[in-house]
Amino acid sequence: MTNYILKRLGLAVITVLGVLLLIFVATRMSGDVALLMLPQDASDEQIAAYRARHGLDRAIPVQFLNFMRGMLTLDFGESLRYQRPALEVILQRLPATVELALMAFVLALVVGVSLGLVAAYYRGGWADRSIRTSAVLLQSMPNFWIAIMAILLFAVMLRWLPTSGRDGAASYIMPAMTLMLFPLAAIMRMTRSAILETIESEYVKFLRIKGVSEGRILWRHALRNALIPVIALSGLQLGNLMGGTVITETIFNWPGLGSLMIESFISRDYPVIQVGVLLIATFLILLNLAVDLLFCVVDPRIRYA
Amino acid sequence: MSSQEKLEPFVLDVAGLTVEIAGREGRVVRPARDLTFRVGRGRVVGVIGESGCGKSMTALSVMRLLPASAKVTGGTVLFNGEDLLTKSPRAMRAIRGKSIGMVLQDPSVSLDPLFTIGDQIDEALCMHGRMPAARRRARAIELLEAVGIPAPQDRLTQYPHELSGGMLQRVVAAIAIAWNPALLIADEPTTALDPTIQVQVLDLLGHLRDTLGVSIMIITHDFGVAAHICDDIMVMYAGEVVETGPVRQIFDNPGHPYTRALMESSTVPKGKGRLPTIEGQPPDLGDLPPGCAFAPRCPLANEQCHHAAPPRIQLSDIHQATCWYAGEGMT
Ligand SMILES: Nc1ncnc2c1ncn2[C@@H]1O[C@H](COP(=O)(O)OP(=O)(O)OP(=O)(O)O)[C@@H](O)[C@H]1O
Ligand SMILES: [Mg+2]
Repeated sequence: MTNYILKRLGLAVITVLGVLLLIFVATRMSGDVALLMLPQDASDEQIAAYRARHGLDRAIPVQFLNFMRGMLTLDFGESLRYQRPALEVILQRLPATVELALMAFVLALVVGVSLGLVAAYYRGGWADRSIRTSAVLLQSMPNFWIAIMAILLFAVMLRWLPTSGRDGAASYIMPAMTLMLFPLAAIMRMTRSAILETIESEYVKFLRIKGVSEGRILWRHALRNALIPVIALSGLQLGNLMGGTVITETIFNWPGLGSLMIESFISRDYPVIQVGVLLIATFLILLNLAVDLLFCVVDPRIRYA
Repeated sequence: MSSQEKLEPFVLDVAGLTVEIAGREGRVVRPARDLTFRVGRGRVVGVIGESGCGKSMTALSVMRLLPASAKVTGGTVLFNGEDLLTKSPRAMRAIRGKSIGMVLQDPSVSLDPLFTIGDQIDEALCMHGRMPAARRRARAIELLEAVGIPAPQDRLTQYPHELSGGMLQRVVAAIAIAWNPALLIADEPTTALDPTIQVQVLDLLGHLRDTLGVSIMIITHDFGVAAHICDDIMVMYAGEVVETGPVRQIFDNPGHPYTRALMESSTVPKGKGRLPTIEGQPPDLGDLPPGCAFAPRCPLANEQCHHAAPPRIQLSDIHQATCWYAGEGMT
């Protein structure tokens, strides 16, 4: 087990480095940041000086090595836009995103699994049908469209909620909802079908033969078995949700990592982009590892394989 | 076993049992039609018939565990003299796993993959009464010993996927007999197992009957299985009982041409060569011929067989067959 985790962690480091190299090269090939940052009438000397100050005049491999060396001391360079350490810029924006994503994910998970259970339990009934219909609707509406419609309705027309920003509890509602609806629908549908599949299984038939009550079958056996595909899906959805923050935060002007990344890409703020990518890639890889470990906890067939 | 239990000569006495499944386009399929049969106390009764003739549906009606689409529309199922069909769901749950045990066809999917063998036996022991944990554990080990599982204490912490099919079917049997049931229903308990293991599991069932006195209803489509452990046989065709009687009498003097065909198709030595089967297909249960259901495949059928339902003929006081030709010494 420990062996397996170590192997996975080693693999994770290599993957993160690969992603970093890719983003490093890609950003540097997307245009000259000095021209973007300096005034139009900057002299050649000024431009050269700017490049030298940020190490942009070296060959790309050298720049990469320097970046890696800095990484060891948590020195990721200075943000070109804010003239502050890139890590500091990122860490300042991170909490807003973590709050939002966590809130959306936990809600999606809890509500999704509960509604999925209800739908499975009353399969074919009106509750099941309305739950399934809304799931399909939610999954077919793009994130940004929901966000814009919500702003129109709740902020512009009804004036119940603020249009944007992060100020007070009410400002969380729309961004969190926007982020949560798609994963909620996906988790709900998966829970429903997984529960139904287990309910029809032979071992549930045998549990009935043993005299086990329907309640115990549902809560102790069906739910636990259904959780396996739901865990797999939830990991995936949490990853997607992190991607969703980029759009959602931009629409709602949410001061988080997602909107920071977009701003930094537009202004070619390499150092910030690099730390951001490093952080997101590490998170996604750890998430995958966590999902796999969770499988081992829930499913003995994997634990011993 | 409760002291009040009446000692009827028959553990199970089914009369006129009819099951209906609502199919597509208002079609009604009847996988059991007017079934009448009995399981004598301490006897092993084999239910034999081709695939799809309603054997599993019959067993599930006794357990009151038919799929939602199927309904019992008539008859009585007397278990120890009490009609199971009129019991409340709660009363029925108290009977399942306690007074009636059941073993399913495929042991590899009969147990919850996420729980240990010990947990699943323990769950059965928690269902119908209170026992301290230490006693339940001792009982679990005792049960595993009773079904011939070596090193039982080590099995308790193992998961289903760690055991072979034969071992799993023994575990399933251990759970089925956890409360010393009066009746054990086994629905093709050996079909999913290796041939060498099949005999062992059959012998185990026979052993359980001998040691616990449990009556067994074993479903199979193989006369060889029936010959191996059964006392009585009931042959089913297209949802009906076509012949019942003690195994010896049926072997010596099969009263129904279908019984004979089944016997011929399974007495051929196993191994190479194609499996002998009965010519033709069983009829569509939603669209049965007007006379004898077997007539279209029967070598003896004449006009009468195609148009009129055959009578039930007594071949001895305990052997009967439903055929126009029963008892006429077929050639
Ligand atoms: N869920 C269902 N819905 C509709 N019809 C069904 C359903 N289950 C079974 N049947 C029908 O009921 C009939 C009897 O099925 P049953 O399972 O009792 O047969 P069986 O004798 O046990 O066969 P096998 O040897 O294949 O197990 C079959 O012909 C089948 O068409
Ligand atoms: Mg069957």
